[in-house]
Amino acid sequence: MSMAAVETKKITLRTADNHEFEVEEAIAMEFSTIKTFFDENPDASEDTIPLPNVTSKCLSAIIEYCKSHLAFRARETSSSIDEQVRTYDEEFVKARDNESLKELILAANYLNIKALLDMLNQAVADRIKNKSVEYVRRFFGLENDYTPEEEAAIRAENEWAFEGVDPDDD
Amino acid sequence: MSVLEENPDSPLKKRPPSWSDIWLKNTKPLKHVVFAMQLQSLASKDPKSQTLIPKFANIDRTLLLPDELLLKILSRLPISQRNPNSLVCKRWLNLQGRLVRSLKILDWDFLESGRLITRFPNLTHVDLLNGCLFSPRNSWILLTHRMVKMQTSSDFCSNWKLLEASLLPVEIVDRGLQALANGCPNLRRLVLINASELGLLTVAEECLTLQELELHKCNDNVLRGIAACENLQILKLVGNVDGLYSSLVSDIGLTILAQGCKRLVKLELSGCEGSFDGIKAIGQCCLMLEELTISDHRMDDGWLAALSFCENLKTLKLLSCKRIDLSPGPDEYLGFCPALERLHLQKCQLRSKKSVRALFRVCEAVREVVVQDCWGFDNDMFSYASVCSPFVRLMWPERKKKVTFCCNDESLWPLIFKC
Repeated sequence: MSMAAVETKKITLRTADNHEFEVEEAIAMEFSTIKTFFDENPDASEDTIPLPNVTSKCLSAIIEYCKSHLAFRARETSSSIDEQVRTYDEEFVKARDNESLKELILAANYLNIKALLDMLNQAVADRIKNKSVEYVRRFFGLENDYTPEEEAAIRAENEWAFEGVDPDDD
Repeated sequence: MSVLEENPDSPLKKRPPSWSDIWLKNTKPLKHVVFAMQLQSLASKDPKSQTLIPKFANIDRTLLLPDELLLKILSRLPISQRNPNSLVCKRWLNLQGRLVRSLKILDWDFLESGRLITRFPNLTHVDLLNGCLFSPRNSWILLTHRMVKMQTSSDFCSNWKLLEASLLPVEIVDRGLQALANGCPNLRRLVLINASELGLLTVAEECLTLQELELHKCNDNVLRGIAACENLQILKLVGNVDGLYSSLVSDIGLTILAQGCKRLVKLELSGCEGSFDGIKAIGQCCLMLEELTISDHRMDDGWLAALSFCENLKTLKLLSCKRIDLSPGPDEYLGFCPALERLHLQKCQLRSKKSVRALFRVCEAVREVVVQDCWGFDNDMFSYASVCSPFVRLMWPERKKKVTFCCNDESLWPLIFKC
């Protein structure tokens, strides 16, 4: 195989704040939304693809994630690789504050990147697991829209009216 | 066919679709943005922040997580967090409720008032047993009797008619079943007590996916309603319960059941009467029956021989039987279950040699016998087991021993018994 530089196809993405990112085709194909577009239109013109719902901060993080995971997948599967993937994912999530996590989730949903979305959803779930009602409200920026009577009624129902049951295997 | 398609070289060649065309086709993200815009217009009363076309960056992101994403996150939280989550806000009450599939109802009014269906629209497994019982809420006395657990007040009757006195009347149970059937069309599993056939008919009509039913205080009439549940695969019937209530399930009911529920795979008859004819009907009609459990039966003697009609039966369980079959009839009429693999005897009285002998004859194809907490099992019993296939695995769970032995080697039996 010749070592001459092979032009890997690059795709340009433009974010909501008008930054342009040039990524290799392989990475862009990790975004199912973009992949579907190219699958359905193999000879689509190679204009810059606008991503009006993604900020540059999010996109650069997502591109980093996809790059790393592509590299992991290229290597042979083994338990040590799995361990490295886990560590990478943990680090990816750890440093981010709640707001950026949510932004990333929306972006990953918009771009339809399943693995990243699942990972981020789990990360948010871990952050609110077993936390109090107030904490959860603050995390999501939600207001309590119950009147005191309504709230008391729900509490009574939760206490007296039913019991959750783990369903048997379906 | 247009001119365009016929002549590919025509100057009116279809231009390749542009990116914007494709975005419009993929409306999912668009829906999110529309949702966000709607929320923005609802939430923001400050005129300064309102613009004609709200820029994404200005929208309060925290409102934007659409239902489907929130549901995915909520479904990863522990079940213990469900109740607290329902108090976060009304939207979360709705979302959290949509995730619940399985529930035990303790308060009948919760069902009848429609609150159950409003809060939990996606129920598939519902247990109404305790809901059908009047229970004083703040009582410290818990009465447990095998299958039923209920709170009771300190003035309970001394003649133990407690359960009957606490049961909701049949009409009320039926009304609740109507509400449930209307609200849970995807019901798969239901447990209840003291229903009538009318209530069950409603369920049978509305809940076509009902696969599993457990009915306490069942009787022959009610079985008419059960027979209408054509897709039923797992059924448990409780007729008599010593000390709590008596309710008659006889051959009539068993025959009606057999003719209606032909797809039964697992059947448990607890405290039921009946005889050879009832079991025969089940064997002949329920061709898919793989597991039969007979618990505390009051059947007439001679019923064992009917088991041979259950041609696909793989597991036979006898639980808490004070007697098996004291008069099983002549050997040549006993037959055997051709597909039987496992025989499980638990808390049974096995002193009658005739019974045990007949039982092993009927189960001669069996490969595994589990004997747990039984009494009356002695050396001679093993000789009866010799009609079974040469290698039978015998398990004594309480002694934590599992032995495979060849029944035909008589010298082994005393050794096995000592284990």
